[in-house]
Amino acid sequence: ACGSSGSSGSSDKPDASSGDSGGNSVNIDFSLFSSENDAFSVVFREWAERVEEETEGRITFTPYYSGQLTSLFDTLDSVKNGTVGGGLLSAGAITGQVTDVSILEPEGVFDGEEHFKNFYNNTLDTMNDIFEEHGVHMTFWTLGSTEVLTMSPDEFLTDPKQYKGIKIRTAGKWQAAQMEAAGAVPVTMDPGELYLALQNKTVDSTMQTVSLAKAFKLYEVAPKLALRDVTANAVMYVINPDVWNEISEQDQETIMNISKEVALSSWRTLEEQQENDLQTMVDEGAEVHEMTEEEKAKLMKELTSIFPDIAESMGEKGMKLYDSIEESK
Amino acid sequence: MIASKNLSKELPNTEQEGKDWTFFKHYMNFTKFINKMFTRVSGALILVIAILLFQDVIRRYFLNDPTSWALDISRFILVYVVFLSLAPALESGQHVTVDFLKEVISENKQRWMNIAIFLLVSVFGVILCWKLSIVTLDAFKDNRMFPVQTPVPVKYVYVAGPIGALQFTLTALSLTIKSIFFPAEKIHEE
Amino acid sequence: MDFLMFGAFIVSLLLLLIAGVPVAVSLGIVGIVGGALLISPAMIDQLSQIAFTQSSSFVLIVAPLFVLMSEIISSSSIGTRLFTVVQMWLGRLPGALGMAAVISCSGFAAICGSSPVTAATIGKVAIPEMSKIGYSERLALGATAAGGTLGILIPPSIALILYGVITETSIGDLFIAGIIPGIMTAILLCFTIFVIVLKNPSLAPAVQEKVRMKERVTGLIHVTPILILAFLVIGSIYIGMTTPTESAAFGVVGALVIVFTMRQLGLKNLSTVLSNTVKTTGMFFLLVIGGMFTSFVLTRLRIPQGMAEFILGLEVPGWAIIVIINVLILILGMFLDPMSILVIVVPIFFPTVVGLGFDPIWFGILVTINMEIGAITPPVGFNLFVLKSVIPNVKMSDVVVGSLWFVVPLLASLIIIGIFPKIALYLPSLMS
Ligand code: NA
Ligand code: NA
Repeated sequence: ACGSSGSSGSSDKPDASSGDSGGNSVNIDFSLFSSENDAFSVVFREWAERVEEETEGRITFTPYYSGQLTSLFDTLDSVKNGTVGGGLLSAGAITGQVTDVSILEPEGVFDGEEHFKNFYNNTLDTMNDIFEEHGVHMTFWTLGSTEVLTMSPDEFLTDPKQYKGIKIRTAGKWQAAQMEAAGAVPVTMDPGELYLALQNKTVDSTMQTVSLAKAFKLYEVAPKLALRDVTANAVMYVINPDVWNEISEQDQETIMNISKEVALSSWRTLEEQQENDLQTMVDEGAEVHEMTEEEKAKLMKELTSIFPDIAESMGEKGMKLYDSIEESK
Repeated sequence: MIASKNLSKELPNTEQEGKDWTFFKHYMNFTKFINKMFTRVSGALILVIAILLFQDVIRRYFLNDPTSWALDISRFILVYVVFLSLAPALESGQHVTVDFLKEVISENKQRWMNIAIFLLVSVFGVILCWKLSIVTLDAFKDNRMFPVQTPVPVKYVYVAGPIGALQFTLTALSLTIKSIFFPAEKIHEE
Repeated sequence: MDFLMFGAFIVSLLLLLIAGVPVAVSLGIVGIVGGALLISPAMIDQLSQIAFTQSSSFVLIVAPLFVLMSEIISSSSIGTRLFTVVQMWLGRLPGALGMAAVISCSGFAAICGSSPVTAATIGKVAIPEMSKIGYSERLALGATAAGGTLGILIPPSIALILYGVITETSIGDLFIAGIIPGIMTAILLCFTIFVIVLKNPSLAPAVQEKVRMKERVTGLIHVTPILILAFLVIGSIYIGMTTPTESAAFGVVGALVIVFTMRQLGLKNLSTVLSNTVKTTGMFFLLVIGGMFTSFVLTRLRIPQGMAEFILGLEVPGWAIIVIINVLILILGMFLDPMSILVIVVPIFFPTVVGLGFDPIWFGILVTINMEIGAITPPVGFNLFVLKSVIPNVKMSDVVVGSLWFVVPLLASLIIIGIFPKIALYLPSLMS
């Protein structure tokens, strides 16, 4: 008697009864590492609802939030082999595997909304090719955040000097390299383990997106938030190719159009959500320090110094993305 | 965690005289030998993890000079510990079972049940080994790296998976053979 | 449909378990068949994902380390000496030796994460001592088996670690939440012995030997290894020096140094200790992998979610649901070992419990006490098996009757903490 009646498996045979004008009915089990109220989940629902509406209910989604189904680190494999129909990827978790998107992982790549939009339009085909190569169909991608926090229990970490020797949790290889460039000792761990690690001071600090800082209640154990308005990381909404091929061509086109619109408007969605999240955290006792231009410049100088290293690690398609960052400004 | 020890009481030896079971004996001795090796390596690796983490705490807490690799390397060693320990645990009867049915049925039926159980365990082992091999082969194909600071290729870590699962399967088969051909022997030895 | 699928799942799992298939393999096979038939064969791929994710988990490094520490200590005379000291201090109190066994178990539990290991270590020394002066075997066995269960309630605890991993609850909080309930349960167990002996003094003849105060005080030195280790393990977490994972590494190194200093650690000894650790580790992880995989398939079929929606939609008060869940665990506890119960039951009911607004830490403590009961109830009680093998010529029926007496205080503890969650939640609330 619950909502499960409609959740036929993603890899089930297409529903034969719906062979009318619109094409097949497909329900997609979608795995998200983000919690239900997280910005990524908000963007997901905005997209899923529009897809559902404009395909007249043929394409539906069953979301599984908070890594309930697959962990952040195995979502790509799980979508690829069809264990789940679709999922949310984080660049930080996949750059070991999809090296071409490495440049989307670190902080400080995009200067603003227009820069992101131009880049998105210029590189969409390349991005699609990259994920096609890795066995999944990418519908769209958005930034992980347009603002980044360094969170700490006792003091605002604003100056590279404060980074010397401290253990700081980062979301992936290249963010780790950035923190190392600033003098810190980077630590990698699942976001689910971070609360305890900060509480016990296994790590001294974490570099974090606003939405995850709120979702995992990290501000309770690391309430000093140094905020800077730079972008970081990217997340991709991908679908298993077999599931994708079950969808009629017409519906595929509809989905891709909606995807692009949602992606281009995601900057605003993220910003709004981040404002709300910051407010919630402040209401619950966190303190925010917005870094000054001067502080920001000093830190970013260290953090962006590794971009040439990233470029070296990427293949031909990755270099296309890399070059497009300048071109899209 | 020892419920399944003593599960095979002395059965009349049904080995037929004159038949040559040497191949099976060799096979059983082979799996036993490998399990002994796996146990040694896995045990030593647990000690290594303890020492790695211990020195890291000392460095962090007293010297303020933590390593960036101790935790990650420990996680990778754990993969070896886990997969190498699966088969020895099976061999020694550590895998918990609910065995009160066995206590009430006849010894002959017990023997048939043991055969069925270990065959089922073998099937599970085959599936596990097959699935682990696919993921591991993928890691060999695309040379992916762990998304951590210490650049370790995934393949060198994951390779423990199929190896451990294979030995798990071989051990389950060995126990099946034991139940069929050597029912007089205790199934799980210390 | 949900209930049909859930029913099919439970029935096939039970059939495999009754047939004697290892619990982890039963879970794995039910997951594989269920996932392949009800969703799609692609589901089986998740088995390998889960196997690799769990075996490289940052949190689970703790498991083999705590097992190793327990094995190192139980290979030494630390347990024996602890019992001797406690016994001297209790003197000629009625039922002194029985209580000494329980108190020694509680002390040993502070450095050992497993309930059968605790029961076996203390049982090896306590039960012969009790037999020597004419204790009823039932009482001797029951007290030790029940005392041993404290191994998983008093931190460190392999069961609490597993609960924390399954439910993504803080292991540090779970550990500290177990302390007061553990002490309370130990007191209840001692009280039970006291009452039994008061009603029937012939069950437990008093110790005749008189021990001088000086001897008692000097005896305390034998408790120091335990105090040191308990500090290394639990203390180091709460002064912010280590994570639970690192504290386990501390425990191992500490235990090695102490046992080596006591000249009780040879190479041969160490090799046995490591070999036992490896086997327990293999068992533990296969259980985790099998359990997590089945839980993935169930989640994919939306069974726990459907269950939660269904139960939350009923006009039944929350406490009644908690009672029902606990009765179910009690029944399963008769047949299954604690770890198996955890991986089977908790994923199914956890969404319901959280949906009803109950505290996950409190629920974890309830489940743990419930599993303690399971460890001493027939027909399958691990602590009973362990003791039966420690004292070979004891009758199983004596073991069973003896432990059933002690189900009463454990049930009382379960009910008290069920009604007063503060008992479990007070210490964690101080931490944040
Ligand atoms: Na304990
Ligand atoms: Na039981």
